Amino acid sequence: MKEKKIKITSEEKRLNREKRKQERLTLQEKREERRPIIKADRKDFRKEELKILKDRKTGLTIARRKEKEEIKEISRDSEKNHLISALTSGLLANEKKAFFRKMRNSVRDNYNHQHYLLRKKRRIYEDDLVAEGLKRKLTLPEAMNGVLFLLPWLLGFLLFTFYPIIETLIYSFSDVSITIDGIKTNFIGFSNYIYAFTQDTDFTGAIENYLIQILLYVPIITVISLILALLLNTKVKGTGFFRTIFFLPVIVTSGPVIKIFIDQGVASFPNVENLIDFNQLSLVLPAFLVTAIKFLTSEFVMILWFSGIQILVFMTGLQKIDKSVYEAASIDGASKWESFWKVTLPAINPVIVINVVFTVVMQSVFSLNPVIKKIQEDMKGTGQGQGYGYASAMAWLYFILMIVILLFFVLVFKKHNHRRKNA
Amino acid sequence: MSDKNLTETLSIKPIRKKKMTMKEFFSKENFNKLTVKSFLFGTNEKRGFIMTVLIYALLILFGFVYVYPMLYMLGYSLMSESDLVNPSVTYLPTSWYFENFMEASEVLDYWKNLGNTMLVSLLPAIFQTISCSLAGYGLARYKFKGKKLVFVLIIFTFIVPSCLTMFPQLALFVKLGLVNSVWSYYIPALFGQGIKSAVFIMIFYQFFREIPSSVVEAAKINGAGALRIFVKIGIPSAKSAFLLSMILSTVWYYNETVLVALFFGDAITTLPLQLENFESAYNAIFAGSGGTTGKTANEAIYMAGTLLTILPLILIFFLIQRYFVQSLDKAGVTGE
Repeated sequence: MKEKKIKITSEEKRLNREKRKQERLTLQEKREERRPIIKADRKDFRKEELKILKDRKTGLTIARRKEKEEIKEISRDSEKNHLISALTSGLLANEKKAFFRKMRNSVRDNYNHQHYLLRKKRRIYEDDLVAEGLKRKLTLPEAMNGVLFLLPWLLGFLLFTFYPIIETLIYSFSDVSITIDGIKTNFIGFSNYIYAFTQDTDFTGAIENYLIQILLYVPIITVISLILALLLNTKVKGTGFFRTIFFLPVIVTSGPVIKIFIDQGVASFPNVENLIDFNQLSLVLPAFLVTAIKFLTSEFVMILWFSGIQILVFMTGLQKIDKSVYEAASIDGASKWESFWKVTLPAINPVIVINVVFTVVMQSVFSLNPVIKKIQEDMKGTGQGQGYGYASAMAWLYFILMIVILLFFVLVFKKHNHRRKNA
Repeated sequence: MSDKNLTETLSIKPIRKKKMTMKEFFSKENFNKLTVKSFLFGTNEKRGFIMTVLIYALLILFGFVYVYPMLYMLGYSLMSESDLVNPSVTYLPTSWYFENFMEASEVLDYWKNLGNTMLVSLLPAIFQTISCSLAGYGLARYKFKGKKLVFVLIIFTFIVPSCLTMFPQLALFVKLGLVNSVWSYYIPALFGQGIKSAVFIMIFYQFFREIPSSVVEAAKINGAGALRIFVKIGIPSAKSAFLLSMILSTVWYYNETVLVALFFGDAITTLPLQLENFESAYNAIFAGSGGTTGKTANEAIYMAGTLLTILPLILIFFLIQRYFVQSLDKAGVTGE
């Protein structure tokens, strides 16, 4: 059934409009009329509020002065009566102090309450004004507030992340030269990218090293930080001390410090490197494995040093697991070992993903990373395989590679999780 | 050791009631009664002695590996040249030798650069904490369209390496006339785009989400505005997040070298940056002056320089370590 549309004639429309106009006018008049009164009322409120605040202040100062005087008197008494009353006067003074503290608190509470009542009254009054249409209420919708809180971040994102990334993308397709007038870009297509892949062996070598590093470091860091978190999560004495030790590297890890440690051979245990003959090894094993072993022997401690935050994240993850699940498992006859695999690991799987992502990113943006170093070196300078244009192209390639690696790790863990659920 | 002493130290009291002699304790009968066995291997409720020893052994082993470079550094920084050459001196120096620290502090231009470093680490950390807490609060407390997109963008900012953004940023700062001034560090931090801001936003998001909505509702009914609720309820309930964020961002700003070198040029040098150029700086001071001694920086001086560079951070960390551990206990830095 169709509803009949009520047709509004133009005459009625006009009448409606006029009616509304009239209403508005009367409201405005009313507002104009009441304005001085409202102003006066507000002034009254303000006056009263100030009075309360002032009274509170004077009340407190009077109480404090009195306290001072009395305490002075007590001490004068004790001076008169010498030793005997010295002790009792001390006690008396304390008592007096406590009494005055109580008094001051009651004074403060009293006036605070008055102040509160006044504010409430004023709010009701203001609400009435709003209800009568004499005051427009200036409140934003809830969602708007959230956006306002995020506004600085959003602006910053557009200005300091989004815009630079796009700009870098433009640079990567051009030959960038810096002149007095500013930056000049000259579009050259994909040649920066092609050069990076085909001619720049430094870049491909750095990428290779980076891949080996990541594939080696991420599992090691994840496993070791999980083990340490499990150890720290047991109820043994002195976990606070060990936690401090394991977190300490986070505080001091910076490019130059690590570099000096590696240069001085402290990044690993002494003489481990000399135990292995790499020339012999490279005859037997493929090259990337040899590089991996080299990294392991020369930087082993430093790899551990990168797991400070991951330990913390694992620990909070472990603490969130419900204890009753373990109890249920042990009643069902599961050993500690079994309950680790069947309860703990599935429960912290999301934490593992977070940690892996964190590790990959931290490793990738660390200033000693071979690719990052290469990009920075090539930034300054001109000509092919140099300059900002080429560096931008490499940075973009690197970024894409990073995303691929992240996706790879996330998918591995997600898949793992899925399989377990089916089983 | 007497029997009583042994049983006390091994704390096996809860398991048995009456006192036993050593002979009884280790007797076959007793073993069958599971006392010794449960003591060594543990029961369902209690961890066994062997397990405890194993945990401590592992903790101590890993702990040693972790602090090994630092102990090494401490030992070597106190070595004189004769100690370095002497093969019988391996880790501990023969005498207290502080000359290395004198030279290293001269090379690092210590006090001036320490001031600089604090200027570009503490203040940006404060700005970053403020902006990230605002963003985290907005995400945790409000629902609005595109919130998921914002999350994705935040994670995106976490992944983007700084080499992808720094040159256009630099160009922007040149345009604004802010290059070579600390403001090129402060402004991104103020807008929540500092070093690893995304991590802090996530931490704050976790904390602010824990605030019970009834409290916020009560405050709203009492007439508190959004900002007032944030100041009066949000900030006090996330104190530990603020501490955590302050510490981590101070540390990360302190240890940053690439951006410092790019944005400040020669105008501002920080300690880690100076450490990076340690060798050339050393040669400029000691080897270049008339060539009287022709000294080169030895390992001990490097170690002293490194120690001096990280010393302020370590001192700060140990001062606030207690509060830090407390805040970590409360932190649910897991993120979803």
